[in-house]
Amino acid sequence: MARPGSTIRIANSCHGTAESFSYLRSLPWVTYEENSVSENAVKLHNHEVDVAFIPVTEFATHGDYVGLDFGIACSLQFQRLILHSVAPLTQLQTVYLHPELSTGAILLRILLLERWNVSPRIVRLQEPIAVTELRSNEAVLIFHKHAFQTGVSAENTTIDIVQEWQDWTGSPVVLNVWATRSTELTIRRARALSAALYKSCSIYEQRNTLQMQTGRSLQTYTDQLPEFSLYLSEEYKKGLEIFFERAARAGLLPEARYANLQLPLNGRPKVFITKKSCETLLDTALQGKRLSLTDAIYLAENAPLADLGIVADTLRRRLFSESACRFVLGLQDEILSDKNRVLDTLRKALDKSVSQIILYPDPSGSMHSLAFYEERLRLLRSKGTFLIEGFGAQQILTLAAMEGIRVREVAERLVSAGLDIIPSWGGEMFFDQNSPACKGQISRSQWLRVVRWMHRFGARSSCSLNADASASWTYIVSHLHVLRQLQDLTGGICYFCNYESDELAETVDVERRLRIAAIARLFLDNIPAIHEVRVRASSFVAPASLSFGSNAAYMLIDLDNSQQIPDLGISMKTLLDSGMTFSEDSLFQLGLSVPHC
Amino acid sequence: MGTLARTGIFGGKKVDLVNQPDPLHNEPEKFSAFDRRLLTSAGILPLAQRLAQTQQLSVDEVTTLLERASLSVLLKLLRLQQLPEQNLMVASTIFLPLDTWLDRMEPSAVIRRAVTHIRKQRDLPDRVLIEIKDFTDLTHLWPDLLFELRLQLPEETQIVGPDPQVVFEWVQTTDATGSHTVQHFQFQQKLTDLRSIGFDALQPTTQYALLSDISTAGFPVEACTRIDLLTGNEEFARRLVRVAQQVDGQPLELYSWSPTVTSSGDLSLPQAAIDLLLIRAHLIGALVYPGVLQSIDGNRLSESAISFLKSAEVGSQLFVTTDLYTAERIRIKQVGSNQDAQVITGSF
Repeated sequence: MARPGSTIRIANSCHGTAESFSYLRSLPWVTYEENSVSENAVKLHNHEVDVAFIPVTEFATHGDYVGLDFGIACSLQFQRLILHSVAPLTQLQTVYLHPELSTGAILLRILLLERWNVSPRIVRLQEPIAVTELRSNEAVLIFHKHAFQTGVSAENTTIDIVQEWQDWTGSPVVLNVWATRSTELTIRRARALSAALYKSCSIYEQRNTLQMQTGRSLQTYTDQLPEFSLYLSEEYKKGLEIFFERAARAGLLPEARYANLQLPLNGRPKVFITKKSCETLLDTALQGKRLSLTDAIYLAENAPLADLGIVADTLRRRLFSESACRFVLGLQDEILSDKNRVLDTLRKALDKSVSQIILYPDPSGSMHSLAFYEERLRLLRSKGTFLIEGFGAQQILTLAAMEGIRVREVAERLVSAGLDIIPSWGGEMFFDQNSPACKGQISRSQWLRVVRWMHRFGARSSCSLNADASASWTYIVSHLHVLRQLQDLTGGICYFCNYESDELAETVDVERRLRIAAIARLFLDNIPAIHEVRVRASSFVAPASLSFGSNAAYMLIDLDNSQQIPDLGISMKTLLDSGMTFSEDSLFQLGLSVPHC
Repeated sequence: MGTLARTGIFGGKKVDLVNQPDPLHNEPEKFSAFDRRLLTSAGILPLAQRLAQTQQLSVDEVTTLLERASLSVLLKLLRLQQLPEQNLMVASTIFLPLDTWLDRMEPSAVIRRAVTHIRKQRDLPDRVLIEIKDFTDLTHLWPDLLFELRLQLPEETQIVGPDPQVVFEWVQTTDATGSHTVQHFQFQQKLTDLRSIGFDALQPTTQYALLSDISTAGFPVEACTRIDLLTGNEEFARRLVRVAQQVDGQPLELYSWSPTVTSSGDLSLPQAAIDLLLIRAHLIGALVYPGVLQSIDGNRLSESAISFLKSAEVGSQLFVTTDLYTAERIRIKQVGSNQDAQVITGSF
């Protein structure tokens, strides 16, 4: 996209709280746009804008931003972030959140864990839920200007979580900040922007003063919130540090510090961010602390493969003392159409110790009805205790459109019929638009919406990365970041698949493949299982990845190839002989029944 | 007499000069605190320390590496050895069955055919393997043949003779005395003849007992281990250490070592297993034989396995006997050149 030489691309929030900053729109050297704060974070991360109004959680997660000392902070009652609970907090089992909540969600999670010692399931809703719809052990965190007027009865517990945070920590809360990269602005532009942000503050303050003097009714949203501060004084910055520290301790955010852009009289803007070495970052990961996006990108690009591998393997061993090999049966629509063929294939597969079945409905328009798939799921479910995986987000959307029903209903019916896991199809690469994995796929938001519904109805899902040889580490880690965020919210992801795509298999950049496995293990600290899928007897890379953070190898079984399992067994024996331990059932399935001592 | 300074400035900071460790009496710490933690967690810190002090590993230690060290741990140990980084180079090789041709044609025709064969290649070879089946009279036809051939080849191209084991078996078959001493003497004589008539090297041998004679004859000592025929990790470790111990004792100097698997083994190994076996063997070989060329069998390893070994930077120059198309794909350099190997199309 062409960019005028001397303009700054600024992304403000379209939400009412950031309205005060809309003054920036009038500046001639600014290209101005408004989005949600989370969209702003994505755009800033992808270099689509130079300066953005983002949640402080995104500031911490990225790890390489500097603040401009402006944002939205609150030191008194906020009254817009209210937790409504029907029952006492100790009985809470589920808390619903608005999908856009970011800093508020982390505030709540820390309070739940550390202040109230409860750990309910957190569910992000696509649509608002009324307080009157809550069950006895449920709560909802509401974020809007009428948070206290949502049908709350006198028996309900209502907590202003910002107030609660301040009572608990004694420090104010910063929700959003203006952020940029340290190298993005010239000194002249940085000064001009800082002055413009100051002016936004003064307009806001003058208007408030005027309103109070004249007693005129307040017209705008921010006018009603005189307790907001748009400038981050030292007190607020200290409050932000406390928030970062507690969130990192709870494993919800990477260790982060708020660094601001210093504006000297001449020269370039200065920034005081301490760059961490690879060793420090790897130590951080070994201690079980969360890595920021910048940390992970830096490690992926700079850490020696050996160090990455040892750390990833150490983390793997903490969770899985043994590696595993699994065989998966794929059932295409063609087979699913014929009941007898399904049963025959299933019988042969079970003879080969298949532990998982993947259904491949054809999303190209010739899918069967939802009732048909429900019947097939019930049939399969009645034949064994294997896991049933199938129906990617695209297929679920197609089914919903075909049946004229909502996605949640499709989700509910498939899960009730026996679906255990939905695969990651359509969510293999969210950012690299040039990647074949991105082309013709559903959007990131569509994928996330479907997967959240599936998680809500008890299904679990896999997630994956299919990065071609040209995908940058920024794209790769950003993709992993979306998955980590989703898992933070729903906890519904059961494993991450490390693909060896056909395109990647043909390249000889083995080191990159192994780095991806290791980085996935380090960065996805909330997804325990990292699986190698599409394992083939012709390639050593998938077995080798078991030494670089992956904990299981999955092979799609070919019922006509009698040599497939013995060949994999021989490859795995070479790992067994070099000290890797496998689960006993894996050894049995591979024909390596004598465990290695 | 003046007094020594008690403090100094180093890196912009005041440092205490009195309580510094004495470099003459204390072994400087080779590993960072982070490295120590990693090595401790992998259970190989003592072994890494011995390697860092360039001490020869024992059979037990090599067995431990074979049985317990993951790929990433082996890579780490190689990095810690801090050997000078060298580039993987491709050594393109062609085979000339001169002895078979001599059965059917005149020596001059054999030379013409050999030259034609060499010029048919996309690029001049780095190594020319010569077949000899009969070692009865090496000084008759062979000196002229090899001289003529040498004139057609670049100076840096090596003319490589047969596997010493083939020579030894020929001596055993043809000797009527049955005396080991006589056979040994005859074998030494044949090796000396091969050297004097113009062979630069012999094919790598799996027979470690012959290495000393190869060295005595003036050939570079090139050893090979067929790892699929060994009974286990301990036997492999014993073989590796045995050669390494010979290397330490003069005059034997190991020039190259190569692990390989053969298709004639009991098991028909899938490619993934061959790659894993050979990669581990190469990494461990590089630890046991620091500075010795690792000769990679480009015909047995997959491209991705060769690429992995290249990225492993094992600290020793690696030879690949593979075709130039493969070399170009994985961007390895050609022997004697700073350029990446390139496929040259067209004829000479």
